[in-house]
Amino acid sequence: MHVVTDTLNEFKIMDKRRFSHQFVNLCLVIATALMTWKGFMISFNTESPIVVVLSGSMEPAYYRGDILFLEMWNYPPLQPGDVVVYKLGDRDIPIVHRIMNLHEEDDDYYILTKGDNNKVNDRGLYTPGQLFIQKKDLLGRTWFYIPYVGIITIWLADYPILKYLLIGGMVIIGLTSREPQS
Amino acid sequence: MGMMHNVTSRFNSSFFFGVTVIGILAAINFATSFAVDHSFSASISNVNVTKFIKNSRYNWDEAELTFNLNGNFSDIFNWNVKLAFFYVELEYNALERNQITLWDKIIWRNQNTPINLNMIKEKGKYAVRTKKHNLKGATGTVKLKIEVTPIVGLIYKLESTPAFVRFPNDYS
Amino acid sequence: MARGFWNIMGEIDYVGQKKAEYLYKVIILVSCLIGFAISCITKQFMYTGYAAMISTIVSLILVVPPWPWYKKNPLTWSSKPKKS
Repeated sequence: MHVVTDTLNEFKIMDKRRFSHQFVNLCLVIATALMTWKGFMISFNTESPIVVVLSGSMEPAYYRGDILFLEMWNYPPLQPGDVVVYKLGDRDIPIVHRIMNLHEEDDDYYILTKGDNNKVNDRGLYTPGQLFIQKKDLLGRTWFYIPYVGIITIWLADYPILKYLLIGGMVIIGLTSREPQS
Repeated sequence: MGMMHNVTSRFNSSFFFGVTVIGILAAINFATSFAVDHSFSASISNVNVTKFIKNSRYNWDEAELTFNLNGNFSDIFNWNVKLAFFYVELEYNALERNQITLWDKIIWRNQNTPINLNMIKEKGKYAVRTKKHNLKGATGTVKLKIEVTPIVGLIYKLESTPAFVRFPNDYS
Repeated sequence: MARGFWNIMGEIDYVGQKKAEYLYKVIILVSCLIGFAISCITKQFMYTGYAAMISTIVSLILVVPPWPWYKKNPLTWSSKPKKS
C-alpha cells in the first residue's frame, strides 16, 4: 500500500536538518503541555489539579470517565458534603468520595468519608485501625465538573495497545508531516 | 481556518472545531445558570436526642437524633443541574469545629423529581459518632445542606436556616 | 500530487480543500445550533451533546479521507520548456 512506501520514503529523504527541525517541534509541543500541567498544579495548590473518575462508587453523581478539577486552598474551609480525592498511605490509587464527618483538632482535620454509591463509610478502606483520614492524605476538593470527556483516558489505560498505537502514530506523523510549501 | 492539505490537518481542524463548538455551548449553558436565584424554603424542626451513650472501646460518644424536615425545592433544579445531594448536618462546637452527617439523599433532575420533602420524626440514617468524649452538655445546630452537581460547571452548596439541639448532661 | 486514496499525506487539490473546510464547518455548526435550540426548548442539555458528537463524527468521515470528489480540480502544470 502507498501509505507504507510513502512513510518509509519520508524517512529516507529526511536529512539531519529536517529531522532536527521536526524533533524540536515535537519537543516544543511536549514542553507546552508540561508547562500547562505544572501551571495548573501551582494555581490550584495540588499535585493533581485534574483527575478522571475511575470507580463507580460515587454514582450517580460521578461516573467513570468524568473529569473533576481539584483545589487545595481550603477556602471556604472543608466541610461535610464536599467531594474530596484522597490517597491512603502507600497506595497509588486515588479515591474520590464525599466527606461525611469532620473534626477539627490541633490544626488538623480528622475526616470520615463515604462513597455515595456505597452503603457503609470508608473505614473498611482505610488501613486497619485507622478511623479518620487527615489533611496529609488529601489531594484536593472538587470545584468544577465536566462529564464524559475523560473516558478516553480510561480506554487508554484499559487497553494498553491503544496507548502504543496513539503515541506511535503521533510520533510518526510528527516526524513526517511537512508544511505544504516544502 | 487555514491548512487543509493533509489528512492530519483536516482531522485537526474539523475535530477541534467540533470540540470548540460544544465547549462554547457548554460554557453558555453554565454561564446562564450562574446567576440564578437559588433560594428555597425548607425548615428543620423538632430535633430530639433519642440515645446517648459513651463508647469506651473507641473513646467516643454516640447518639441518635430524630428531626422533622419540610421543604419545597423546585427552584433549585434549573436547566444546568444534574443532581442535588441533600444532607442534614449536625454541627457542635466543643472548642473546635465538629460536623456530622445525620442523613443524606440524592435527588436527580427529571420528571419524577420529588420537589417536596415532608419528613416527620425522621430517624437519622447515620448514628452520631464523635472523635472524643465531648458531646455531654454540648449545644449544636442541625441544618439541611444541598450540594448541587451541575451538568457542566461549578459545584456549589446551599443551606437552610439552622435548628438547635442540646445534648443531655448525662449518658442515657 | 500524491496519488491514490491510501496515502499518508492524503493531499487534495485547493478547490477540494475549500469544499472540505466549508463542509465540516456547516455540518457541525448547523447541527449544534439545532441541537442547542432543542436543548433550550426541552431544558435538557443532552441534545446539544449528541448533536455535537454525531455531527463531528460525520464531518470526520466526510472530510478527513482524501475522497475522489476533492480531487476534481488538479493543478495544471505548464509543459516542460524545450531546451534550446
